[in-house]
Amino acid sequence: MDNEIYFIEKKENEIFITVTVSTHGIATTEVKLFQDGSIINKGFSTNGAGLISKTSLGTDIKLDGTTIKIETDIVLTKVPKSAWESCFKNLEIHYYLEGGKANQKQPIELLSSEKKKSSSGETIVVIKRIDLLLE
Amino acid sequence: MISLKPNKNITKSCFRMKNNILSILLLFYTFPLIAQDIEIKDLKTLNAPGFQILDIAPNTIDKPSNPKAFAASLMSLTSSGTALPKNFALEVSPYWYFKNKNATVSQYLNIKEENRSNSYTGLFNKMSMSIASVYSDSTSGSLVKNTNYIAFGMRTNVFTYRNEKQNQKLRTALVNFSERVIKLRPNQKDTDSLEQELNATSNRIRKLYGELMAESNDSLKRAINEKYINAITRKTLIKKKLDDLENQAPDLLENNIKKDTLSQNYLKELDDLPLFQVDAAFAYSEAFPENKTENKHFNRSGVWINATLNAFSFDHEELNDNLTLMMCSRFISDNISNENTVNEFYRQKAFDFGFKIEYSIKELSLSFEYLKRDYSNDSNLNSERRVGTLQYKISENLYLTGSYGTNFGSDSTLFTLFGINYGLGKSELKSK
Repeated sequence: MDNEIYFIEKKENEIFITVTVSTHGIATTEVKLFQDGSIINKGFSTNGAGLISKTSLGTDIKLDGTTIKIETDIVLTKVPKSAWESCFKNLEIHYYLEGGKANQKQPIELLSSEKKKSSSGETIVVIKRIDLLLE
Repeated sequence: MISLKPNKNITKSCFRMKNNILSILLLFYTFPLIAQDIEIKDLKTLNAPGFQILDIAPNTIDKPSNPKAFAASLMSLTSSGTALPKNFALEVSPYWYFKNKNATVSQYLNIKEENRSNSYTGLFNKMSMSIASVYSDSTSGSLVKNTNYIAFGMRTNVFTYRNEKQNQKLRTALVNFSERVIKLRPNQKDTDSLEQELNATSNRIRKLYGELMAESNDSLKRAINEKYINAITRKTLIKKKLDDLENQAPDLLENNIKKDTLSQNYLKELDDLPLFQVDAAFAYSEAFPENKTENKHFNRSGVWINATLNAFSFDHEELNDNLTLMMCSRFISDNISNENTVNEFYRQKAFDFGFKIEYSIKELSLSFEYLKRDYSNDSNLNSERRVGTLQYKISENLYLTGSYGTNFGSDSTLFTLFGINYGLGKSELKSK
C-alpha cells in the first residue's frame, strides 16, 4: 500500500497532527517521524484511548520528504470475545494534519489494508504512513 | 462447534402469526449472527430477562456485567414435530454491530475521563435483547403442565459509578499498560531500520525523477533511469520486508503481552468492579399450551430495576474477594388461571421486592436471594422466593452451578438446579 501524501508549503507554518481512535479496546498510538536517516519520536498515547492530542511535527520548510509513521495497537482483552470481529470491522481512526496546503482531505482515514489482526482476533495493529511533501 | 440453523417449520409458523412475540422470534432467527456456527464458548445458562420473567432462571436478581455480542443457551432445540422450538435462549447485544464514533475503553469500563464522567453512557451501549423458550412438562410454580413459554426480554445498564480512588487506579493501570505495549512491540529495531531506508529510498526516487525530467541528454537520461529503476526495485523489496514483519506483528504482540506479568497485572486491575450500578430490564412472555400456536395466550410481562453495591472485600489483592449487595424491584402484569378451569384467565398486577447478597472469593461464589411478590387484588396469591446458589468457575466460560430453595407459588415449590452452566442438557429442574 502506498503512503498517504500531505502537501506542505514553504510558509514557515508549523505542521500539527492529531489522531483519534474509536474502539472499546485498549488502544495505544505512537507517532514517529522519519527524516534524513533519523527517527524522531513524537510521543505516544497513555490513556488507553489511543488519542494523540494536537502535536507539533515541526516547521514546514524542514519537513519536506519526511514520513510520519503512526502505529496504533489495540488490545481487546476486556471486550467480549463474541464482539472482537465487530470491533475489527467497525474500527475507526482519524488522522488530522494542520498547517499544510489548504483544501486537502481531512481527516485522513484508516484504510482496510492498514489494519491487521492476530489469529485469535484479540489484538489489532494498525499502521498508517503519511509522506509530507512540498508541492 | 454446534450448528444452529433456522428450522423451516418454525419460520413458516412465525410468518403466519400476527402477534408480536413470534415476530420477535423470527427476527432472532433471521439475525445475521445466528446463521453462523455457534461456538461452545458462547453457550451458557442465561440469567436473561426472558428466563427471569418465568421465574426459572437460577438467579432472579442478576449481578451486572457488560453484555456479550452474542450468547446462547441451548438445553434442547428439538421441537418434537411441533411448530415451536423448546428450551433455549438467545441473547444479542446490537450495539456491537454498529459503528460508534466516540468509543473509548474508559467509556466502556465507566472510568471517569478528564471531561466526561462516563457514569451514564447511553441506554443503547449496554443493551442486550434476549428470547427464551421453556417447555414445562409438569405444573410447577407459575408454570402449567405441557405448556411452552416463549419470552422476549431486554436489559441495559442505566448508571455506573466509580469513586475517585477507583477511577485513579484504573486510569493508572491504562497508562502503565500503554507503556508496556510500546515496549513489547515486536521487531522494533528491524522495523525502524527498514523505515529509515524506505524513507531515504523514497526521497531518492523523487530526486531521480526530478533529474530524469530535467535531463535532455539521452545517455545521461539512460544512466539516471537505471538508477531510478534500481531505487524503485529496492523500495519494493523494503516494503515487502516491512509487510512480512507487519503481518506477524499482531500475533507476536499478543504473545508478548500474554507472557508479560506486568501487562497481565494491569489488565487484571481493570476488572475491578464499580462501586454502584443501576440496571433496568423488561420482559414479555406468552404461553403455548400443548406447544400449539392456536392455543397461545398472554402469560406475563414485567419491568424491573436492580441496584448493585459492590460493598466490601477482605483482601482484594490476595483473595480477589468481593461482597455484593443487590436490590430488586419489579412490576408485573400476570395472567392467572381461574381455579378449576383450564383456559380461563384473569389479569393481576403484582410487585416484587427483594435483595440478593453474594460473596465471591477467587473461583467460588456463594449467594442468597430473597424476593417477595405481592398481588394488588388478591393477597392469597402472594408468595416468596428464597434461593441459595453456589457457583464454581472451572475454567474460562465454564461454571458449575448449584441452586437450592423455594420458588414463587402457593405450594412453596422446592427448587433445585444443578449443572454445568453451558446448559447442554446437563441442567435439570426438579420440583416437589
